[in-house]
Amino acid sequence: MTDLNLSDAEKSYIVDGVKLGIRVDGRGRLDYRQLEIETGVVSTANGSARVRLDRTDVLVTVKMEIERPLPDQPENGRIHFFVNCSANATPEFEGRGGDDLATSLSAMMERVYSSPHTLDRSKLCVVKGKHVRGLYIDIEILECGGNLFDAISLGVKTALWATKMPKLYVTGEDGGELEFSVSDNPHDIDRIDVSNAPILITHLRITENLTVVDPTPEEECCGPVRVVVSVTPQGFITATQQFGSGTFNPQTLTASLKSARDLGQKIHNRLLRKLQQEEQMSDRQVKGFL
Amino acid sequence: MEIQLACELPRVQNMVHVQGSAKPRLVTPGEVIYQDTSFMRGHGTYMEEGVQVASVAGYVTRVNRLITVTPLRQVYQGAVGDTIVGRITQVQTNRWKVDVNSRLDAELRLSNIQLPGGEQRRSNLEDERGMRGLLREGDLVCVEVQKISDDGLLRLAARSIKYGKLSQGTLLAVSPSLIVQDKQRMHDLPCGARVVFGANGYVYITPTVPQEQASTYTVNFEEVPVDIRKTIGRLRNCIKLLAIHSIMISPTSVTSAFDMSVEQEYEIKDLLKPDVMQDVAMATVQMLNE
Amino acid sequence: MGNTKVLAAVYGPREVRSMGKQQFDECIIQCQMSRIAASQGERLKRPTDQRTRAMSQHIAGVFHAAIRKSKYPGSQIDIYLQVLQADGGVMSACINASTLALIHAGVEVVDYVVSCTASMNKQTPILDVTNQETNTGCELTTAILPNKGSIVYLDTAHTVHRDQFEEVMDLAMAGCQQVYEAMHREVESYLEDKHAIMSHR
Repeated sequence: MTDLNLSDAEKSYIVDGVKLGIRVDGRGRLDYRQLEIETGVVSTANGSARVRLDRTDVLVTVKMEIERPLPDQPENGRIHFFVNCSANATPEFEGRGGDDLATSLSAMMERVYSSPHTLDRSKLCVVKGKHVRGLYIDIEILECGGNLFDAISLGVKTALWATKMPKLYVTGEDGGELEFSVSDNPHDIDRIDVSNAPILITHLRITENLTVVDPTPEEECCGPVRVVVSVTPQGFITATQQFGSGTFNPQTLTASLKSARDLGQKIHNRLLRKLQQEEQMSDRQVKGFL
Repeated sequence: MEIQLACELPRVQNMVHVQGSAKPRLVTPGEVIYQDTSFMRGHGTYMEEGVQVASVAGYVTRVNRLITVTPLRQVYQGAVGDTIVGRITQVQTNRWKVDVNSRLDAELRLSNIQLPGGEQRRSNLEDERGMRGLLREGDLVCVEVQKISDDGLLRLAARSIKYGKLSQGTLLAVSPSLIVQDKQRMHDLPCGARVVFGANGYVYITPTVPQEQASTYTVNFEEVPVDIRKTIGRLRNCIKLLAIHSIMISPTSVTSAFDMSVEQEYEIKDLLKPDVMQDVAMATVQMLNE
Repeated sequence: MGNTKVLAAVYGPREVRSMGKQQFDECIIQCQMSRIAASQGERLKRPTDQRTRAMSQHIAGVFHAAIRKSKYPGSQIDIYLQVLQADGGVMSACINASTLALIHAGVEVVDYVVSCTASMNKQTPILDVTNQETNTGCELTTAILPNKGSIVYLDTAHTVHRDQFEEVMDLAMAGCQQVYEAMHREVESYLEDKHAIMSHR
């Protein structure tokens, strides 16, 4: 993803380490780094979250707008994903440099959330066939430290959890156009049910038959091919996608899917617990970016 | 995966209290250092209207009549005789371009390396063709700064047996100002690994190699056994945590952090967690103070 | 600054990437600014537009005056700015954030560059205006080198009466000095903390 250029010696050190089950930083093959989350970092958004995974730093904001539904789904709200790889992350993203990566990330998120099992979009309906809520989810990559897919999916789920949409009331009709009033009471809000929202688990193939999760940028250099699996808290797999040039052995792939499922469920549980804990803190100071 | 809320993480604390004695003068840009014009101006200062003004934030050092201000963080400036670690970025007709964390890529001429085979033989056309065989883009080298040209370009040399291509291991980039100035840069630490503290902030950790095997341009691709990997992984994480807490990096501090983490029975991957990192860092500072 | 939040990142000085731009006697300075989509009330369609590009150029211009370019011949310094929340005084916040980032990176500068906005509400001049306040009056943004007392950037929007101009300008300058004092304090305490740790070897 970034223009790291490792020497053969470093690569072989990483690859051998994976074979022996001990990675360069001492983790095992299926160990994640510690994740750091915070919600409510941007006050102008309906919901926001910042997720850090070692050096990876992602900011997700959710903004709600009223719009027309798609003709074939008159009662479903719409969700749009936009990824922006800012030049803050690495200078290669300057200008249009990050566009390819951004497209593949947003396309993946779009696909993951397109499944009806993930979010109940009919809850976003205001007036059937006419007005629905649209969620604009903007993902800002602030720093790249490997494993962007997992980080942004966790960020999106966290931001959706934190999203507070003011309740809408239909107040009247004016020449066929409905009029709304938006409640400005901060407690009169709608939340989004994220109990089924999936997260992504990436398995990076380092060498024949062996994959690792949560790769560092150095490791991403050694394995060109990865499989990204989207897992719901119930353990359903809603989407998979293989990225990069390279081949997977069918057995490796099955094993990866299985381990992604197990890991995914565990992470979902922990995430939910932490989010509830954060919400119960009464005088939480937003740490933000300082 | 462990998940932490941002507000639960330890804030980086002030770890040591400033001792009153021998506190150097700290200045920030624009501040007048001395009214006196008889001083010579060094790095980080400039003259204006007869007074000497700082141009960086850092501490003032005075050697005879030369005044310099050293910032706490900056790119590598270069000093003749420094041993540094660099990564090849380009192979040109008779020289390599090397990234050394400096403001310009440094230059390593073919004539300035010890060629395989002959002790001090002259390089010929064949060597020029085979340059990529010796060092390729991405390869890491350990070299010496031979000369700094007028425009600040560093010229490198690898004229002795101890310099040359680095074999298997892992690289960490830290701020150059954190590296303790020392004549000896390559250390075989008692814990069983060799660490090259490049003066430019690139720290390379490799398994210890027997002296006679320290060949210059061929890499040993033998698998590194697990226990040595564990040592290297622990060292890597220790150096990283020292750098994060801006503790000077020297063989002593690294060894004490290493011992401290073993003593407190932290696993290697535990050393990636912010709270553990702070624990070990503080303990190390204490140990160094004693 | 209040509800306006900006992140700044400085890369360099380092090797110039596009060879055509390299200058042999000094360094080049590039600046890119972008806004996150949710930074304002309305969602933004794209992170950069003409306005941010213009502002980036202004910021690069400001720092051309402040960075000691002759110290870094043939190199390049990049300043990347990310506006997280915009509520008036975005330009000022960007300049202040860049200054701090440059100092943190150890780049040689002539002086701090500090910036502040001011406006006129009916007859009273006001400092550090929010979005709402700019709707009713003018907005004057200025950046100065506080130890030199010279102005490196000035920009006014909407009409301001000639008689009032000086009043607003004076206030903005005073605001800059306040900003300078706050930034100076921060940098000093940061230096002291770090230096205390780093002097332990």
